[in-house]
Amino acid sequence: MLLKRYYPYLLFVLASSTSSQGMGMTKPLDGKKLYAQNCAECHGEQGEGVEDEYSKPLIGDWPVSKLIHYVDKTMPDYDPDLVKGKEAEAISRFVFETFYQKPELFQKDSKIQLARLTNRQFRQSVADLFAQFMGTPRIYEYKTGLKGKYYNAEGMNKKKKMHTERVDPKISFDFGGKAPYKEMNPKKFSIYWEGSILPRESGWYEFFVKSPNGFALRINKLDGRPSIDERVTAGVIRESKAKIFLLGGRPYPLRLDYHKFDDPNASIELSWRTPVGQKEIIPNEFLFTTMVNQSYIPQQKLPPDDSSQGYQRGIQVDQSWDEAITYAALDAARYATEKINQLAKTKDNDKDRKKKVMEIASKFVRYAFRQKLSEEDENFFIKSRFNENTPVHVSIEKIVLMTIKSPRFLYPEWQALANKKTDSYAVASRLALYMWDSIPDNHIHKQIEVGHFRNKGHIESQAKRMLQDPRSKAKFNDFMLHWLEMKTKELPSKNTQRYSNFTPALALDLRRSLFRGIEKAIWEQNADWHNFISMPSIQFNDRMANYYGLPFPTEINASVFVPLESKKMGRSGLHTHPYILASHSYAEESSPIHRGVFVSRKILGRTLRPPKEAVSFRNADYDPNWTMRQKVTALTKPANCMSCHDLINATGFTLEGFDTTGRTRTKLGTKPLDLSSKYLDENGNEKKLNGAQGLLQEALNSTGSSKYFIEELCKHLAKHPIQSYSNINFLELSKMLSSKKLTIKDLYLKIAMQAATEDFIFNN
Amino acid sequence: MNLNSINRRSVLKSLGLSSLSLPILSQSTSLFSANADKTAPKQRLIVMFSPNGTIPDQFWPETIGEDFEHKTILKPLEPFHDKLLILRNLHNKVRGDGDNHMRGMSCLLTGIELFPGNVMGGGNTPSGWPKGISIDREISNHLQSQPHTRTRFGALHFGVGVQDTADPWTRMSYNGPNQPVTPLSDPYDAYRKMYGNVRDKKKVRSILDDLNADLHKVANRLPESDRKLLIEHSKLVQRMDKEYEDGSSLSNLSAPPPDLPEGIRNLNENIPQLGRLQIDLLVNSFVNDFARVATLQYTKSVGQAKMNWLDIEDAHHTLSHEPNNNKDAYEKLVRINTWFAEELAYLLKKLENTPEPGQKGSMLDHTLVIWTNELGKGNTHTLDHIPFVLAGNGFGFRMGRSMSCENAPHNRFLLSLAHAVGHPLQSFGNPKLSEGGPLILS
Repeated sequence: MLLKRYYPYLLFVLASSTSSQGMGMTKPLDGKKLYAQNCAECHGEQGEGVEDEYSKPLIGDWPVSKLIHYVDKTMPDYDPDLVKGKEAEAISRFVFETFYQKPELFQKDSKIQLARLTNRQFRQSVADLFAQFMGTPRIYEYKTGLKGKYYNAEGMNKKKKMHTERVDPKISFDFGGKAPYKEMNPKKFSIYWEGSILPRESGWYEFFVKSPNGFALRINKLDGRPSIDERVTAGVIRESKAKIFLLGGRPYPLRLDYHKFDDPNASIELSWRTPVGQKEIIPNEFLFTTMVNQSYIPQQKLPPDDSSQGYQRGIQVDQSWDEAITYAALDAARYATEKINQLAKTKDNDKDRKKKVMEIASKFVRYAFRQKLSEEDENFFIKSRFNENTPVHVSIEKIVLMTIKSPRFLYPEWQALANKKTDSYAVASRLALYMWDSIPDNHIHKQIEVGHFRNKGHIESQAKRMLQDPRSKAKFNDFMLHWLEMKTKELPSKNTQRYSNFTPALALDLRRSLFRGIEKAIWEQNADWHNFISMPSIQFNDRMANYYGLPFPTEINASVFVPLESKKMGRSGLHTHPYILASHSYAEESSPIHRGVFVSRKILGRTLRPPKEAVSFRNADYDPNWTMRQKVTALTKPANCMSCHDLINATGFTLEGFDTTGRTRTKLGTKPLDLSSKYLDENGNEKKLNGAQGLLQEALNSTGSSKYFIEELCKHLAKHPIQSYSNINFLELSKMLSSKKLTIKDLYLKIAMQAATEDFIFNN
Repeated sequence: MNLNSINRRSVLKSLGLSSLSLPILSQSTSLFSANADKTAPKQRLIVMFSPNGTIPDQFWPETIGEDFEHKTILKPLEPFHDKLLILRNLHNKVRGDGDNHMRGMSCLLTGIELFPGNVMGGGNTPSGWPKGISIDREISNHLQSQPHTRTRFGALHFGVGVQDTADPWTRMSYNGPNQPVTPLSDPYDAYRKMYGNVRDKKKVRSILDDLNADLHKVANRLPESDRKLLIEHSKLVQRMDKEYEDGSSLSNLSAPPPDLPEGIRNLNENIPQLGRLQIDLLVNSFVNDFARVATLQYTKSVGQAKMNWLDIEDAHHTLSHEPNNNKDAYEKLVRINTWFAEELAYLLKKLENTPEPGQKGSMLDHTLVIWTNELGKGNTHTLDHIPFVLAGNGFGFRMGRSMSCENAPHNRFLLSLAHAVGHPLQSFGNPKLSEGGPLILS
C-alpha cells in the first residue's frame, strides 16, 4: 500500500499590516503626510509599531527599490490598491530615510540591567566555586583512550599479578572463553581501566555497562558507592546504567573495574547516550588517558531561562526557579559537608581543623560574591555561623546554603549598579561571566588583591589567559549550538527506505564532524571570518566517507575523524557541510526554503521576519515530475510571499546540488539541475548567484554576514545587545572581521574585554 | 476467588496438613479470622543482624525450657525473659558456592544456595547472589498483597555502619534471585525516604530571615529601576518561608518524626548513636504504619567495626578469628556481643513503651523481633548453631523459654515465620531443607 506523505511545514510569508482608515488618494506627494494617513495607525507615528496591529518597529535591510515595490503591491494590508505608484514611492522613501535603517531609534532601554545568573552561569559558577578548593580538573596531555591494567587473579586477590598495561581506544571487548592474552589465565582475570571523559556538550548523559562478568563504573565519583555497581555476577549478560548531568568542555574522572572469575564467557562494553544522540560505545575522541580530579556538578533540574530575545537571560525570577535554586543549594551544602576535610585540607583529628574550615568558608563566600568581604559581611556570612556547640560541618552546611541562595551570588552585576561605578571586581566578574559563564578564579582574585587589576595591560593579559582556558572554548561551543540552531534540535532523520544507510549513527557523526571542524578551525588554526564560513576542509570518519562516496585513508582507525578538502568533494562553505544540508531538509527531499532561510540569516547576515501566516508545503500537491525548485517557485509566487521568498528562494536554490542527506548531485532524475539564481543584495544590486560557491563568494564580499555574527556573539557572551556598550565600536569590529584583520578567537576576546571594561577607568 | 471464601478445611487440605498441624495454624490469626475482621491484631517483624558469630558459652542458656538462665551476653535481655524465645540447635544447612561468611549472610534469610559467581571469599568456591527471595521480603509481599495489611513501604531496611559495597557479605534481604536490597545506612537518608524533605525545609527556613534581610540590604543600595527583580525575589523568599513553616505534610501522621540531631556523620565512631537513631526511626515508621517488616543490619558479615566506645580498638572480624585461648579477644568479643544485646534491649524497651496504635497492648505485643548472626562462632566459621533470639508476641509463638530445634535446618524456622502470618508456604528456600515443615513454635 502506498502511503501518502505530507510535508507540513512553514512557509515564510511576509508579515503585513492590517487596515488603517486610509483617506484614499491625497494629492501632494508628501511622504510624511501620506505615511501618517495610510500607515501610522498600524505602524505607529515613528514606525515604532502598534500593539495588536503591527507591533514590531519598521526596520529592515531591503534596498529602497524593493521597499517601494512591496508597498506598491501589498500596502495597506486591507486594500493594496489604496497606495500605488508615486504615493507608494513617496511613503517608502520617507520610511527608508527616517527610520527604516536606524534600529538604534527603537532600542528601548539598552542600558545594562540587573539580571540573575542564567542556568548555565549558575551551574558553571557553582562547579567552579568548588573547584577552587578541589582543584580544577585539567588534562595536560591529550592522549585519547583509557589506560587498562590487565591482571591475573587468584583466590580473593583480583590483582595477583599484572600482565600488561596498555591504552584501549574504547571499551568493547568480547574475549569469549579466552583471556585477553594467551599467557593469561582465561578463567580468572581482571582489568582496571581509568582515565577521563571529556564531553563536548552540557546536559544529561546516560552511561551503560554491559557484561556477564563483574564490573563497577565510576564517573566523576571516586569515593563512596560507584555510579554502577555490578561487581557480583548474576550468571547472565546484564546491562546497568547511570544518568548524570555533565557540563560540556570539562573532563571527569572515569574508572571501570572489570573482573572475570570462572564465568564461562568474558565480554564488556562501555556505552553512553549523549544529550542529543543515541546509545553508542563511547567513541575514542571523548576518552583520555589522564586521570583528573573529581568535580562537583549541580544535578538539580532548573526551569528554562527567558530566551524571548534569542539568547538566554536571567531576567525573571519565579517560584519554580527559587525552589530549584534552593534544592541545588541544599545539595551543594550537603556535598560541602561530606567533603569538608578535603575542601579544607584537614583531618578529623587536626587541631587546626576549625581554623582551616573557617578560612575556606571565608574564601568560598568571597569567590561566590566576587568581591572582598567587609568585616561586617565576614561576621554575618561566616563567623556568626560558627559557635562552640555546632559541629563545623553543620556550620559549613549553613554557610554554603546561605551563599548559594544569596543575591550577592545570584545577581553578579549588583555591585557595579549599586556603587554606580565599575571597580576591578566588577570587571573581573564580568570577564569571567562573559568568557566562561562563571566566577573569577583565584588567579584573578590574587591579581586584584595586589592591585594589578586596574592596569589595562594586566587586565588584558588575564583576559588572554582566560581565553586559553577550556571554559572559553566550551562557551563558544555553546554559542555555536545556538548560532547554528542546533541546541535543541534532534538529529536529522530520513526516510528509512530511500536512505537506509543514513542511520542515526551517521547523523551523529555529521553533528560531531561539524563541531570538530569548527573547534579545530577556531582554536587550533586561528580561523578568521573568511576561513570560518569558507570551511576549507570537513572532518570525515570512515562511515561518513563511505556514505558520501569518498576515499578514506585505509591506514586510519575507522572511528577517527580526518580533515578532507571541501573543494575536492564539490563543497564550499559552512553551508555545504552535510550536517547543515541534511538538517535543513525534509525526510525525502531537499528543502530550498529551510536552506534558504538558514543561509540568508547566518551566511549572508540578512534580516528575515518570521511569517505572519504559515503555509504548508505538501509534496503531494505537485506534479511528481517537478523539481523542488519548480514546486517552491509555484508555492511562493504570490507577491506577499515573494517579499521574503525572493531572498529565500534565490539562496536556497543554489544548494539544490545536494540531496536531502547532503550528498552531491548534478541531476535530478534525468533532468539537469539549475543552480543559478538572481539575488538582490541589501544595497539594491541584483546579482547572479551560481551554486554554493557563488553564495559563499557573495557572503565573503558583504559586510552583513560578519555584522550579524558579531551582534549574536555579543548577546551570547554578555547577555546584552551590543548597543548597550558604548565601549564597543561595532562598525570597526565588523570591518576588521570582514577584512580578515581579526580572528574569531580575538573577536571573542575583544568583545568580552570591551564589554567588561565598560565605564571602567584604567590606571596607567 | 476471595480468600474469605476459603474455608478452613479446604485450606488445610490444600496444604496437605492434618489437623495435627493445627496448633501452628491456630496462631496465624490473619489466615482465618483477620480477613473477616479488619481489626485483627497487627503483626510486625523485625530482623536485627550482628556479625561474626557469637561466643557460645557466654550466649546459649544451658537449660531448655522456661527457666533458662541469662548468661553474660543475654543478660541485658533478662527484663524481657517472658517475651523471649531462644532457639537452640538450629543450623544453616545451605551448602554450595560461597564461603561461610557469604552463605551465612546471604542464605540466612533466603535459605537457598548462591549462584555460581565471581566473588571469591576466604574459602570454598566463588559465588554470586542467592537464588531466591528472603523471608522478610516474602512476608512483606504477602502483607502488601492484602488491602488490610498493606502499608506505604511494606518493608524498610535500616543499616548501621554498613559499607558502600554491594556483595553477598553485605546484603541479607533479597527481592528474588539476583536482587539484593540495599539497606538505608544513613539515618538522614532513611528520614528523607520516610518524611520527605522536612528537615531540608527546616534548614532552609533557618536561613530565610537572614537571607531576606540581606536581600533588602542589597536592594536598597540599587537604583530604583533595578530593584524590581530583587523585590520579586524577596516575595519568593517570604512565600517559601510561609510554605515551609506549614508542616501540613506531616500533620496526618500518628506520630511526628523523631528529632534528628544535626550533623551526625556516618563514621565508625558514631555507630552507637547512628544505631539508636535508626531504631527510633524504625519504631516511628511502625507507629505511622509505614511498614510491617523491617530489618536492622549492624555492619556486615566480616564487619570490621572498631568499637572504641567499648574501649576496643581491634576490628571486630579480626578479633573473631582469634583462637579460644586468646583470653583478651574472648573477653572483647563477649563485650561486643553483649553490647549488641543492649541495643536489642533498647529496641525492645522502645517497642514495649509504645502502645500499638488503634489496638490493645504494646507494640511489642504485635511484633516479633529476631536477633541473628551469620555464623555460630567466629573462629570456626560454623553455620551450625546460628544464634536466633526471638522477642515479642507478634507471631503467636510461645515465648518465655528456650527450645531445642533438634538440629533442624533453619529453613523450617523461616517457614514457621511465613505460616505465622497466614502465608502457609510448603517450603521456603531449598525445598529439601524445608522437609518436615514449619517448626512448631507455639
